[in-house]
Amino acid sequence: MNNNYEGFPLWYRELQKKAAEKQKETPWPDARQEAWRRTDLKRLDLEKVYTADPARPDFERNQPMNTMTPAEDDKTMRLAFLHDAVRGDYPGVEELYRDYFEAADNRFTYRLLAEPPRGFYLYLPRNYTASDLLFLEDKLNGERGETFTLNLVVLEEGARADLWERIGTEDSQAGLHNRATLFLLKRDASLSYFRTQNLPGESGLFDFSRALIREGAELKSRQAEGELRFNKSHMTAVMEEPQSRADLRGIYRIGGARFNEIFTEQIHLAPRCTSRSFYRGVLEEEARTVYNGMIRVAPEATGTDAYLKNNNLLMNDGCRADSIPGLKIGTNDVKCSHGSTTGKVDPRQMFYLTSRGFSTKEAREILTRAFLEEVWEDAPALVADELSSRWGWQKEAVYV
Amino acid sequence: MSSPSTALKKEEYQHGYHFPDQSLFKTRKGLDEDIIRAISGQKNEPEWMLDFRLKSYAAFLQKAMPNWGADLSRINFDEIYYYAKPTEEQKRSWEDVPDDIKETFDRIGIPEAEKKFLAGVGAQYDSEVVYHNLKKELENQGVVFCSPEEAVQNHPDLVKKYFGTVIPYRDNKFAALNSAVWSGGSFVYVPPGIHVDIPLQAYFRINSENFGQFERTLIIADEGSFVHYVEGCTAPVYTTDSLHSAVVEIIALEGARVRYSTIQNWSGDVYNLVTKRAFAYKNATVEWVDGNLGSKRTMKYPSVFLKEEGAHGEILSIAFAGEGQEQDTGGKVFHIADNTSSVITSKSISKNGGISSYRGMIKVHPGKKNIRSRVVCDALLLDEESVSNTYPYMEIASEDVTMEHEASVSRISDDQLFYLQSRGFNEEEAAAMIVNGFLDPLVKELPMEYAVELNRLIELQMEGSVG
Repeated sequence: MNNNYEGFPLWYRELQKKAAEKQKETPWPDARQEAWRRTDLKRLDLEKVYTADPARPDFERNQPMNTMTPAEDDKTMRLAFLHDAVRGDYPGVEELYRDYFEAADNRFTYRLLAEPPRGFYLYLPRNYTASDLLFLEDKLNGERGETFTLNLVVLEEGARADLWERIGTEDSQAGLHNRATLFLLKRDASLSYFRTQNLPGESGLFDFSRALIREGAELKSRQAEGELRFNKSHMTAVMEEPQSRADLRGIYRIGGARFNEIFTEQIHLAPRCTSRSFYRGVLEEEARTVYNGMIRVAPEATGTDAYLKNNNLLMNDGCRADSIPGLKIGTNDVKCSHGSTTGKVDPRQMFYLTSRGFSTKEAREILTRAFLEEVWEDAPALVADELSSRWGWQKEAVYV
Repeated sequence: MSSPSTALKKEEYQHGYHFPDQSLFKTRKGLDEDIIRAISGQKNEPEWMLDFRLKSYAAFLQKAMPNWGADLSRINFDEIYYYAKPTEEQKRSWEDVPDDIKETFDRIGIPEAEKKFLAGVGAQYDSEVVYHNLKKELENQGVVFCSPEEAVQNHPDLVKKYFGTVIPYRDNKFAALNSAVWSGGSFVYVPPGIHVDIPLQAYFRINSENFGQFERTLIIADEGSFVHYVEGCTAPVYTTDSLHSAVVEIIALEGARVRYSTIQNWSGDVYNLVTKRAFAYKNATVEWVDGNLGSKRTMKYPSVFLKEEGAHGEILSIAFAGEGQEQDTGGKVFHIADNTSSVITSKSISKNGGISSYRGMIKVHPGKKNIRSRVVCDALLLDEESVSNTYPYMEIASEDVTMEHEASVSRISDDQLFYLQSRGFNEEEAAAMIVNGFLDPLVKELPMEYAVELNRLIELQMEGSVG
């Protein structure tokens, strides 16, 4: 056992050791595994990063956060570095770690768990309502150009918050990043989570996020994927207890010869839960995207209401969109369905706009924007502004 | 009949009659090159077909089992008889068919009632075609409807040109196995411009215990022609696992239309692993109507390659998974040319813990123009233990595409049940009626006698399902 983990709880040291072993013995994902069949790993130099040993713990340097205002008071919200949260065995930490380890099925996740804990821990006590939009920024700067970041968000019973997480800044390194945000939403908690990506386009990103949602709690997740050389983003929502809800949405707009893969999973383990996935993407140039969505309903999850939707807009020949919306339904008292469409910009709408004096380019941009904004219509102004400015859209037109 | 399996209760499996094995030539269990040579020798095949079988066998050994879909781990390739020949020669008329074979057919209620109506009946009893009866006018039109063995002898040019071109022998492990040991099936050639007005029908049966049936069907519809081919399966009940692995190839040349209908009702211990694929050329249409009711595990995804402009593909799939069954079915369409369109409609029903899965693929090749595709999957779960899965794959590499996919899973609604019960039906009748209604869009596409048979089978499956 590494002495540098002195003071860390035993469960953590054991779990970390197991994760390190698992990382070594788990082979690289290959095309025979469904979740990896379409993943273009050849774009990445994995051997270099993943044959190295996990870093030694050094919590003074390279913290991935820009914005930190740790609060000590238990009655209010608490924001801490992850290593402090683990060492101090803060509420929910062990539970989230154990669940994540149990659910892990690939070398990347094991590696993330084997690395020293880096990231933030956000805690909202019972019935606490964060009145302002919480903002956290991950710099994602690492020693060797790669980072491993794990963020934990714990909402106690009845807590409510809006959280904006921005991944990467303009001065982040273009490396290979491996990260996840884990959520624990206790009874009747409610979280609206907005995530944007600002990594340099040459970056590669693995993101395997996961949420545990308890009785009556609700997660709303809105993700805007960045335009990266390689992006594999998973979001799993586990409805663990009755009447929990998840609403997962995301947009992607990818150009160049980039690869983008989204995986959403709505896991229903308890009765009368509701879940939605709604992902839309626009593809240009030689971009390639894969959307893989799955609704799983356990035999006990009666009264499930689940829906999944994926729409892809292809702007030109040369890009490619794969859409794989799946259902695995284990009981009959359910309402589950999905829809998927892939197509081009509607020529009638183009005709109308050009007849009103817009150029072809403007008209395409207007339609693209309308297509994407529908997914993010409930985003706070700050977040929406960032997306608008990324794509050069006029700010005032964002809101109606 | 004194065979132990005839003691089976009629309720258990309506078509579960099993007669003493009368095969005249039967290979030993298992598979090796000698057996392939023996099969080929038995059929007096030319050298090129033997070569094809041998290289297919090599591919079979090399190919891995699929690591997805239904659980196939219980298949033991060494415990299977790969070839049995039941009667000495092709029977030309009904009177010449041996009595016990006739009796089996009578009990299933085919072909006597239908043979006047149907153009020709090639009924397969073990792997040889027992008799063929093709109506004279079709023969005069130049339509060929015979066993593939006869085709190898009498139409070698057509066979050489098309056999194994749609489904190469290396395609997958089970296609390779079929290519190595195929026996029986049908060969259909429809000359240019000929419309075959009445469906061509072959009825397949497995009889010898543990006997894998590897029929091979090749349908060639020449320019501007039309043919509807109907295949149906029922099999006697066995106690040990049996394997059915067919290959069906369809070639629809310019302007042709081919419709291929199947109702599969293998008994509950059969592995049904079938490769079905069609090539549709310019302005051609291929339609698969695929009903899967029986078998222990079915993996079957009829596919259409739309190879030239204006081609259209349609796949209608019904699956009914009861206790211990896994129906892994669906369809695949590859849009390889401009202005092509496709529709896949899938309806599945699961009950008593049965698993039904839709697995489908729509692929649009880069830069193809004006592609339209629509996929609709509906699943009905009749009880709490049953499972329904949907795995649709859409790979779109072109901008000028309209691709839609929808799927839904539901149960029989209480409102519908209440309404029907208020009209005087009991719960079981009402549920059967709703299920029949659910499948109606597909049943309508079947020839009348098949629709009747399918409705009968659904009623049988639904018996005792509501309690």
